[in-house]
Amino acid sequence: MGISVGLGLRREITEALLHLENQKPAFLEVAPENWMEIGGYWGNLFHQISEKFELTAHGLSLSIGAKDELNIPFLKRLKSFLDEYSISLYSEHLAFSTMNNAHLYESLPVAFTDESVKHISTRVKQVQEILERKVILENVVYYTLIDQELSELDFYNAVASEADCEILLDFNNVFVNGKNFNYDPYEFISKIDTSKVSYLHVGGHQEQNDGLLLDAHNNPIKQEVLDLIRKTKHNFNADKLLFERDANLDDLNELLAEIKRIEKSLE
Amino acid sequence: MSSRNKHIDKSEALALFSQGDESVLENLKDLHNIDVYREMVQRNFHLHLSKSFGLSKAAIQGTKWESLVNDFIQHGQPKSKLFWQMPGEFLEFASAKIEHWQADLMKFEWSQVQLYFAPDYNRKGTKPFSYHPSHIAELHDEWSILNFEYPVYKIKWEDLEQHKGNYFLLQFRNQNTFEIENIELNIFLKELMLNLSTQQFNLAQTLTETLTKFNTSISPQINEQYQNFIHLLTQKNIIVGLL
Ligand SMILES: [Fe+2]
Repeated sequence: MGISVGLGLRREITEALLHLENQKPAFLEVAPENWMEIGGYWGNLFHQISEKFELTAHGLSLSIGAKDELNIPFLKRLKSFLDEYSISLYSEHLAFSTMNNAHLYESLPVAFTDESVKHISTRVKQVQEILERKVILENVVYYTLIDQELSELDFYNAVASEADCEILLDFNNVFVNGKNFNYDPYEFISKIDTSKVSYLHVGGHQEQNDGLLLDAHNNPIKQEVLDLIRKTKHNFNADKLLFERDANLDDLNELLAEIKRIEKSLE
Repeated sequence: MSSRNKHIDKSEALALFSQGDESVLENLKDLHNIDVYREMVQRNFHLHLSKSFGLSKAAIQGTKWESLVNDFIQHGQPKSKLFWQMPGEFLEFASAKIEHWQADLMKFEWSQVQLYFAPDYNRKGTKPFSYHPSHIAELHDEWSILNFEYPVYKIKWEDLEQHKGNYFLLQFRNQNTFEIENIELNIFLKELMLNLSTQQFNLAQTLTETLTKFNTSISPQINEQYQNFIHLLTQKNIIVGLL
């Protein structure tokens, strides 16, 4: 089974995507929080998009790692959205983005500890029950470690096993975290429980002056990351790989060319 | 270290620091790159609020705007699960801390964003509109009536003080272009619009209800205003048909 390549839906490229005839991305990934419960101009375009493309979802505000109570009414609204547009793949960040129920609208790192594994797994099970879908948790980029007891690798495998959820493996994030925290991305991929990996991501990153790599999603994918895909693709059963771009979205053709580069590495 | 900070763990401290709370630095001594998180969090809020409140930001200006946003990030506790709705909470937070006309301007801008994204109305009836006193008009719900102390939608900022009063604006989404449009209402038309939107009264009762509220009876001028307004609402597709 081959891996097909999709693109993240952003407002800047929505109209251009609707006009595409050939060479369409295989699917589009949407952030539910940006498209749910809206009407008017964007609601209308989104509806057209959903008729033309298969959709996957990548959530923003679940805050699975937070200590706050889960927001059940929100999860129910989210489920209606996923059901309405027949979206079966729902992924989120293994991170937290709220503190005392206040949103920071960014993914902050959770501690890689046994306690976190337990806490997060309990919550994931609850979410899966409400959404009636598996939650697919992404290996996020982190810039600091907090009270580390487990390696990142063991932490992800433990959560996936204990929560009975799935993993979104972001190749760029493995590469970036590997560089920033001095581990081998190939080893990470060889040891992650690939039977749990059901969805894949890749995007561009940026290097700061001090050498720290940032998960910027604003530029072309680095060749080393494409090489990582090329050399490890046979490890995975997942059949969807998403190209993430959050900025510099003026030229859809450039994004389609990036997709071609990714497809080449999958040949 | 303040007593509050003794009971928070490092991820919570990182969250508080990212929101702008420097008193937790003590808890973060062995963490790296904490500024990266603070910058990401702050940048998101600043960018998005500047986009939602382009005019208000220009009216409030420079450091005052910056510190309002920073205050909000740290103390505003935004609960919106949908990021695009967060500016509505900023409006609530900021309104009491700025000049009244600036608060009116923020209200004006935020209402446009809300209406722009509001869910589409689903028609209940099927019949097209025609005028008869016994008919009940069906209105869509993609509109709101704003009450202003200052007419920020039509008067230059520097002249607003001389126009302090009580203003009503009907703001609605055009059903064809999806753009937001405005109609200024007097207090009679505002009341009429509210009575129409209950959709409990037929057109004759709507007028009677409204007149009763103002303790008055029909006059040629009022009748003309009433007829023109119904006509305008049908022309603008706010009245979408009959129930
Ligand atoms: Fe990703």
